Amino acid sequence: MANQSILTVNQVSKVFSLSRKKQLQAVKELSFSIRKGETFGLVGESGCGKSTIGRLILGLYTPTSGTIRYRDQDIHQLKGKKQQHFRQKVQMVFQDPYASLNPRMTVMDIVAEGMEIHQLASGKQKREMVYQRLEQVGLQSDHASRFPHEFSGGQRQRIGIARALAVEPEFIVADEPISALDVSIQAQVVNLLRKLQQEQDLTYLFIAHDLSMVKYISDRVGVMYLGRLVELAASDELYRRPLHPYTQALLSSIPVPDPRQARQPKRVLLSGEVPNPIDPPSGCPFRTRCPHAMKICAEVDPTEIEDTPNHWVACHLYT
Amino acid sequence: MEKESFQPIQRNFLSYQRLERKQVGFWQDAWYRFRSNKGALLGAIFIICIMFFAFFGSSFSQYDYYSQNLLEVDQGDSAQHYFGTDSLGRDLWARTWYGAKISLLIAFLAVALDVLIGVTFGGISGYFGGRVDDTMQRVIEILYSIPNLIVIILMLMWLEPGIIPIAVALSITGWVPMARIVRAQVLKLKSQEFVLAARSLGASHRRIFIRHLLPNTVGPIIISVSFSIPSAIFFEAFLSFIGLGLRPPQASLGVLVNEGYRYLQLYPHQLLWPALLISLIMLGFNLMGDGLRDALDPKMKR
Amino acid sequence: MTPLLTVNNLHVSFHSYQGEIQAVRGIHFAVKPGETLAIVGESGCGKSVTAQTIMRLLPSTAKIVQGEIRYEQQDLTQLTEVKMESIRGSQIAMIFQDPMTSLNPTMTIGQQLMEGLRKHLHLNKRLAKKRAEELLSLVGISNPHLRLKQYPHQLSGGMRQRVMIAIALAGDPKLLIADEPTTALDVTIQAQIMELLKSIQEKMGMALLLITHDLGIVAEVADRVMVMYAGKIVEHGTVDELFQHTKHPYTWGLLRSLPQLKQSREESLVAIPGSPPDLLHPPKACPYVNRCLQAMVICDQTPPELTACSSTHQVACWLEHPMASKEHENRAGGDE
Repeated sequence: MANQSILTVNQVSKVFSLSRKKQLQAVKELSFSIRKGETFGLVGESGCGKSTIGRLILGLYTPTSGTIRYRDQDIHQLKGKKQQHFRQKVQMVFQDPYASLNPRMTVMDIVAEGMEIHQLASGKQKREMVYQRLEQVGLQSDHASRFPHEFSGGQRQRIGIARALAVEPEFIVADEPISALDVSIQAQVVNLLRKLQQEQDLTYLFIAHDLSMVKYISDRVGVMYLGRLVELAASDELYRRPLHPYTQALLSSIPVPDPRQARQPKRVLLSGEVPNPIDPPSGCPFRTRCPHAMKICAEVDPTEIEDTPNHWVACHLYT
Repeated sequence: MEKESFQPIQRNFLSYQRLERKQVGFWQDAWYRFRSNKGALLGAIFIICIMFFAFFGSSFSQYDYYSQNLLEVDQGDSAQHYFGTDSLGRDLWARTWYGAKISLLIAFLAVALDVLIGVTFGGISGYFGGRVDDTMQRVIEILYSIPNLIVIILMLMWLEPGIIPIAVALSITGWVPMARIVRAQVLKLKSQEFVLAARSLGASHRRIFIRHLLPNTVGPIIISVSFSIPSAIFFEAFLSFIGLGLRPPQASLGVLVNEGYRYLQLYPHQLLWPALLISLIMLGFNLMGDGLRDALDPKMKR
Repeated sequence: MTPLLTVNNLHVSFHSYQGEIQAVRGIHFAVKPGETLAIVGESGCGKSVTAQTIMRLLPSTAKIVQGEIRYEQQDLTQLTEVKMESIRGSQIAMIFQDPMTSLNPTMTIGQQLMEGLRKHLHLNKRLAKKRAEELLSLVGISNPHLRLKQYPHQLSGGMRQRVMIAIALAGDPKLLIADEPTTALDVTIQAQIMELLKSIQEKMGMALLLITHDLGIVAEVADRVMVMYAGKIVEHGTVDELFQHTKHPYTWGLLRSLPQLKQSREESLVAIPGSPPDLLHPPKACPYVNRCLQAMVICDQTPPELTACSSTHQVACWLEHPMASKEHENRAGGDE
């Protein structure tokens, strides 16, 4: 039961047309599956397509090709009641605690909105449920009459989590839920997400650019670069034995809050920057910054191979 | 120092997420901001005073705006006639305030129509985007490319001049800026995360539009209204001045300026009062509009 | 060594209709020539306001309530705007968080770079251009000759931050203030920019005042660290003292709320509960008392003074008082 996948992303691509000639391939032939009850982490730098995949999974975007199946149903083919059911069971927690709450609605209205849409409760019962959700995320029930601008960033993020929880979801896409928060608050929110996961048996897709936090919260981690998944492994395995040169570089660029360690000569410092996704390099997308680039990297786009069981990597070094 | 001072505090850990500031709602916040702007407050006072006299000013005088008295033509101000009389002996105090009332009514009606059409059109155009938006924008561009004076003159030749026809004629092209403002605002808002959140909760288009988009466009709409009222008054005055407006004994500020202007060299006060009132209304609304912009514009928020 | 910059009892407030927001509430510190001092803290703790006050770049709603900022015998808070302009750029320079908004989009990189060179160093056009090219190669930009003609939007985020650094270096400043220089950048680029700042500092021998929320970056580049909380300094010391002999519960909390790469998923993170106080009504006693797990009765009554625990290490906490229980000391350096 534990290994049963709840969501399968199969060869999904998404192309945005910017103008008649320019096209942006945000996600290219991405495949992975998420098991029920686990936390699946996605990391990558800005523009790598990690947020696009989150929105594809929520059905906010339609894929250019490929399918996303939730409980064996193609989510982009859902209609009517089934679609509403999907919209109830799959929820999102957003990055920006300021933009993700409607400034003109009270906390009560924000949290209750989903219950109203899905007709889960009304009247007094609805209010009681909102209070309960607020307390569950560490707020107080008398906060319900307040407006979002009265709360701090971390508190707003809690409201956003309460809104998602209100409709009793099974699957939550958390799109950089902590990157806009202060360090001391990040840990609060992460601990809250983990507590809720245990209480409600939730499955998470946790999207972030901070590998240390993703590694900590996730069971398995996928590393993305320029719209592609370059490595996928259990999080401890990824940390212990990173295969892809990009993963290695990401791991070593994390500043360590320990002066003794920081002073040691270190790390794979990458040269250059992420290429423009409108005009990606031929072959392997990472070859322009890769310290191990070979001739073949410019010619052939590497395919994913399973290096050791459950550890996938897309790199010519391992073929 | 006491030893007890260094005992640990026993605390209730549930009270960690608390709010210290007192509750300030959106409108309350805007009001505090508005209040601190002296110019805006002055503008608002002008407008309230003018509106008071426009609607109740006639009761301070025994005269009405249409009765002629050929024995008392072209008088200066006196205790009887506060603003004097015109060339037909009509009391100018009564006529000026009546004219102000009509001008304001025309402006309010025209702007209400602007808001109704502009919000609907701009909202639909911005929300649905894509081809719908393209088509609707072309319509706006075509409307904008026709000189509005021609449209209004044609309209008024077809309809009898009156309060409603003039208001309709003004809003025929007047809603376009409103539609643009609403569209821009909706375009900006619809990609915000709170709208995405509502969509991922399964909210219908109607719900998103009414509960999420519209309340957040109220600020810019109010600001725009506070600037389009004076411009409607000005335009109405202009129409009356060139003879396309109301016909005497009906009066609006424009009609009065037109009449007063004929005797400018002999009796300058006949022009002075309506012209002064137009200026004060314009000034008042513009000052208030500036204040409203500061009070309602979220960019100013700290 | 005489300090380059000394800040004494600085208080800065913002005015709002709800009252006075006391962003900085009495801070003292000094920057020595050539050293790197980091100011760490969360948003709203007053670290950026401090930087803006030194540069006299505060918005009009802010005012310096009291205090002095001494730079080479002059009090910067008293200088006229004209005199301040001659100090900005040539003596003290600043780089900002967002390299996109701090460059003028309608001017080429060359124009923006040469503006400072001609103003502060009075170079002629040809020399300014030559110097601009040197500066660009100094900050690691290849083909400086071509880059001079480009506009900011043609460069990536990391490149733009390099250009900002080059502009800041144009006047050959003795003190560089970097306000969250890498926060808007991706991790791999962050590492590049920090390396660059370090190497430039060594080459040019200037002092660096680094403002950041990232303790990892502090550990890598700073000599001394100052931790700010709710407008006050709570702990101040060398990097080793601060990270290995952490005294203040807030500093300790910040360090513990970061996940360690080797940390297993079973251990939960040690979060600091609650949120920082509202500086519209700043707490009279210790500002951290409501979030502190070791708070004592006195913490809620009397504000702790910044007291020295070594010649370089100071902390503002009642736990350092001889009458306080010493149990908490076990935790510092406990990861040995």
